[in-house]
Amino acid sequence: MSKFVWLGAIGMLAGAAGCSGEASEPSAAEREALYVEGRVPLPDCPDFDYGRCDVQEPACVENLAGIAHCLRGGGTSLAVPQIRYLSEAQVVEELISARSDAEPRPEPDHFEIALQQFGLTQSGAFQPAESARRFAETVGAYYTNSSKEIVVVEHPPDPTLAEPEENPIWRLPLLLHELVHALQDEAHDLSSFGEQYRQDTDANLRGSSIIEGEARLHERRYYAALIGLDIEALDVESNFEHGSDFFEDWLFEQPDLYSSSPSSVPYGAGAEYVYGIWREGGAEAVRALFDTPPLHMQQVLARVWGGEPNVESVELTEPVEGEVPDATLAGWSTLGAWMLYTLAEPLSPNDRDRARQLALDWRGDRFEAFATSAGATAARWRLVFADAAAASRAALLLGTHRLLDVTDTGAELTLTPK
Amino acid sequence: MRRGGWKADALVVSARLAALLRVCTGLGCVEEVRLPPTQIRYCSALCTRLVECSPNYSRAVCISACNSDPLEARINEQVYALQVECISAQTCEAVLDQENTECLDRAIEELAPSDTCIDYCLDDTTASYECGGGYSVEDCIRDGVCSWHDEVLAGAMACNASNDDCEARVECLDRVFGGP
Repeated sequence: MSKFVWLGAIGMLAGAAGCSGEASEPSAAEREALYVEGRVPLPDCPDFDYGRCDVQEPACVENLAGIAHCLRGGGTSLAVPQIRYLSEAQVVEELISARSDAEPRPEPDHFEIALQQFGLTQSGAFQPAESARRFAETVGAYYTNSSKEIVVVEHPPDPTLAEPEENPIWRLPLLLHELVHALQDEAHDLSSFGEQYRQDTDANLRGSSIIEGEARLHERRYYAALIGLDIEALDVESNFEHGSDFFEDWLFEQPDLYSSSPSSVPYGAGAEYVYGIWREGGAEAVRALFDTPPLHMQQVLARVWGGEPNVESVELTEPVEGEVPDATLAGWSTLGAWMLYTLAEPLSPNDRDRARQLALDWRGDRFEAFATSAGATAARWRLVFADAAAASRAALLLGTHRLLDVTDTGAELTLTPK
Repeated sequence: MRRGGWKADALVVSARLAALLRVCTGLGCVEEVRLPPTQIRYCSALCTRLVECSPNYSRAVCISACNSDPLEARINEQVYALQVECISAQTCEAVLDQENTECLDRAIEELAPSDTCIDYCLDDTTASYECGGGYSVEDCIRDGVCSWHDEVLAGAMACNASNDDCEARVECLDRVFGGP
């Protein structure tokens, strides 16, 4: 009998056995194995327990730290940092106290007022108490590189909801996320990374996109295994794409786009960016971002939204004396492609791609706040685009802004408050 | 239960049942349909206890209303079977308390998930994850979704299969489960 006949016979026998009803019903345990939490470990770190555990138990946190360390790859294993649980009010108090040595905000705060004139922030948003309150209300947990500890924020229950908003399982990815930050700090010293790569608005968002993007990458992959899904059968890219949409939608519901952006784009587009890097080069390529991060947010967005890659930015010169009559420069920043997007998106809410194209065409900017001799604030935002056509497209959209005038000069635009 | 909430639905059913009893007493307003035996036993047990505990209930009207509620046909038959013994043993106070879901809770806890329910939960948690969120497959199964009839769950799976758009998927699921 040839091999093929034998195979056919075996197939028929197998089929007959399947139809005979002799196969016993799966036991309750066998059925549970089909859906139990943590049933399919992540393939790159298979030797850990991915089931649910109590974050108050040291063994649970040690297991999470082991997963975070393995997913990140490289470096020595992590000494598990202290974890504290604080109320929102306690967080506010600690943050204000930690900043008590910091230089007070200038009075009047021309930079903040200038951003208000562009509709990008609100009065008082930069005051320590207000920024601490916003932070405490927004974040679930945070890692502080100064004290090397993790703080989990205990939010008050929403009285309008019948059932608790927070599912205990959410604490696990939240903690894993913060443990990734602790590992980042150990390997790359987040304070010096901040000094080197997070010094103005655009750079801060770029740096945060790497820090938060990596933590979110590992958190989301871990979460898939925790909830009982097989990561290899999932469209993980879709998770990150929809995550970006969610964080963008959330941002555009906020009254203060400037102050809320650090809570949005690093977790959305930033995570999507880092996920793309991880897919191509693995954990090592992600770790390398801490030595050679993208130059600016346009590079992050270009990868996520599909724009020209590796664009270098144009440095805009400082204003010469007298360029703005009766005024001296009080503060300036490169706001970058993301903040340009936040200005443009509300002007084109049904066509985000149009606003995104403006951000992709960004090649440089300088946002300046001036103190006038009368004590008032003057502002301007100079923007350079890829070419004159891109600048014209930007002028067409930004010209519809109710607060701003637009001057178009070749590939450069200057925006000033009306 | 996710998507409409079986517990909430049960309360609605109880309230609706009570309303029907008041409105239809003696009118015989409900036509007979073919019902699963477990539902018949459940309605019989429930109405027996209601009549025993309160003179305001008519057994015939109660049975008719219980058997004819359209929501009842959408519930897994095992949920009825698992409640019969509990309802028969309940105190009058518990039976007449429309907000008491003790028997229902116990039935949901004891209910073994059907293959369709396991498939639905794997399918829905996957779709939810790919839409940027995600929830536990185990939570899906244990939170009572398996109390829906397999046909309802099959309809819900069709929502996940046919909708690339995450918002459309949620709208479709809400229609299937009778949500907002």
